[in-house]
Amino acid sequence: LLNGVECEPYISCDDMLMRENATDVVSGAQILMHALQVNVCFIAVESDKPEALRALGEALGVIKDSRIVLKQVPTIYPSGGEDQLVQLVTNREVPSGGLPTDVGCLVQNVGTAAAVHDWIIGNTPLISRVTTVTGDGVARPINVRARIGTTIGEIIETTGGYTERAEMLIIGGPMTGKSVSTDRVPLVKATNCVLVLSHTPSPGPEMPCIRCGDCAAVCPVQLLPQQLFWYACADDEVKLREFGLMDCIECGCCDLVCPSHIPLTADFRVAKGRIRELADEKARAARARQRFEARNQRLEREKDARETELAMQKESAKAAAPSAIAEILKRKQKKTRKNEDDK
Amino acid sequence: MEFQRRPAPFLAPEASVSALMLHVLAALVPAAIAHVWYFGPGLLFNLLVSTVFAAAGEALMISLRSREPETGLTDYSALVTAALLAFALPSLTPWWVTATGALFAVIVAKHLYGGLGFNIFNPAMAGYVVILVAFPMHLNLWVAPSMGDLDYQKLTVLQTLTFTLTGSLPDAISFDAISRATPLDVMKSGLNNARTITEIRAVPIMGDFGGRGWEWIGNFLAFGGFWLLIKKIIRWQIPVGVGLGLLVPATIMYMVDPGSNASPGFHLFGGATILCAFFIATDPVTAATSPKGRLIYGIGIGLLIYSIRRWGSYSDGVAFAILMMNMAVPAIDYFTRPHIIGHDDNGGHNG
Repeated sequence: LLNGVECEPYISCDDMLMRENATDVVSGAQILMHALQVNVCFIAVESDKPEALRALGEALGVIKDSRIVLKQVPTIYPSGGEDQLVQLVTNREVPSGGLPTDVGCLVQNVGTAAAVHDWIIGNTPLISRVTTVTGDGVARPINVRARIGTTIGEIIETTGGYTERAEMLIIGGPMTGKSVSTDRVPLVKATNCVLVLSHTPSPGPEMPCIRCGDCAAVCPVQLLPQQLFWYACADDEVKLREFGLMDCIECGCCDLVCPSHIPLTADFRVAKGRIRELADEKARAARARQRFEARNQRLEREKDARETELAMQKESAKAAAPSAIAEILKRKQKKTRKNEDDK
Repeated sequence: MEFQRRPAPFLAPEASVSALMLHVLAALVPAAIAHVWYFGPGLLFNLLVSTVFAAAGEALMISLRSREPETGLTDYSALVTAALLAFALPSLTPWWVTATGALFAVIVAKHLYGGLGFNIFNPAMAGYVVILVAFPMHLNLWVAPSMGDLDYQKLTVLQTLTFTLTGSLPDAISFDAISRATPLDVMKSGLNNARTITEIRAVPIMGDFGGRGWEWIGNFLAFGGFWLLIKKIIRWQIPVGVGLGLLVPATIMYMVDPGSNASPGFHLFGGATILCAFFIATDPVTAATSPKGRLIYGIGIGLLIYSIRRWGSYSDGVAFAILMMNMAVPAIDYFTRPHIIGHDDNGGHNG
């Protein structure tokens, strides 16, 4: 399964890649299929990317490989998530805590396929990638191919620089990206987007949850964020697990529809961290207990060994006793006799 | 260059609690106009009284609980509670009756349970039931709807205001001259006196479906309700559930014995059915939250309304139905949890 679905709104680097390097993507897909010995490959592309669809269609027309199927999917965030795409294309559910391979799928990005082609056919290792530079904080939003390791600052400078009011720098998209405090960070192979905003989006004051359930309606994993939020406030680990907190993909959809402006995703991230911490602690405690028990057992064993040895010594001493006593008596008699003689 | 930092997502949400509540208030406006048209300006005075006391109660509780005033008073939820309470009361209601209901709704039913989002019972309905228990006779004072051929004395604006403030009518006017039993009361007492539906329906106050005047207010409420549905402020499950729960038994009973059972149309447009289905039962805080749960919650309310109307001693049962289903919500929510993607149906992991 080749993932040509953009991860998040604003991002268009995969679209660009598919438009310009469609043949490379298809060829990369063939190489991957050969390596994996699979018979079917879907290339999933969103329906609002007609040019990418056309380019891929043309590339498939030239290459003519009936095992590769172009699949159009609706443009609904977060379809680009690995597990979500598997469900969308194959109607199989990736088990909780499992991987797509558990249901017979392997998901790779179109960028990966193109990189595989460049490496095998073009003899070029992965030294550059296409990234989206966008947001109202940059002068010229653009998709650029940049060497991995270039600093974000340099990329933005070469593409036109910041606008006057650049307030936030986000590595990744607007939904799950990370805001950073400086642009002196490098482009890495996973940097699909650099987003610069001219304002800090403020959701307004946090109000109490009114249990409207809008968050549950948009959750791609069908969790109940309103219940999770309650249990996260109460720090109820058992309930949090039962209601699937660990299945949360942190897509941010619930935050966006919440009329009470509760930072649900951030809260869930914290709650997950605590649960992991607790699990670690438990594991540590279990290990410590194991070690303690092992030590007790060892001490017990050693004590037993000493006791048996002691018993054996006693036994042998006992066995040797009559002759030894006789000896001593003999010696004593000798001594007295000697004394008497001396007198 | 130094950039600001904050956690994802970086898009600001569009919806807000206050916008939600304002939508609900706006959806009530057409029905309020119809109400004034048919039953005089009493509703406006009730609205004023309940709003003032609900807001005062809210402000008092927020300061007592030392909460941020801007998060409590600007969410307009107290206003919605006040408006729904005013809609549930007859147009002629003395101010202390309305005030008792409004204060109980906001202070006891809402804030003593932890404020917005934590209350178990629908505040407006809790306030209404307190009035029903404390001042039962005041809830019978429905003036007759103002229709050309219905010959009842009507009160002027000033007389209505005087009644609201003092609870007494001008000397020349008696209650009997202006007020009539509501269609639901007529139906209930008629059936209790073993009269047939045809006889009961011959009473001039009965309209095409649910009683003259009332059925038109019902239409405007439904209009506002559909607007809320289109705006996605409310979801379809609860209104449809209430309708199903009420209409299915009503239709069956009507088909079995049309002589002693009111028609489904009467049940749908009579009393507070429409107000309940679109505005009261859909209160998100006290309703079930999962889609399936909401349908069950709505059906439960509909069934209870029908049971109370048909077999109970009260002529309408919306408030009791809502409060009873409020109690069932945690159980409904627990048993209607949606399937989590990637889990097996026992809630455990299958990976």
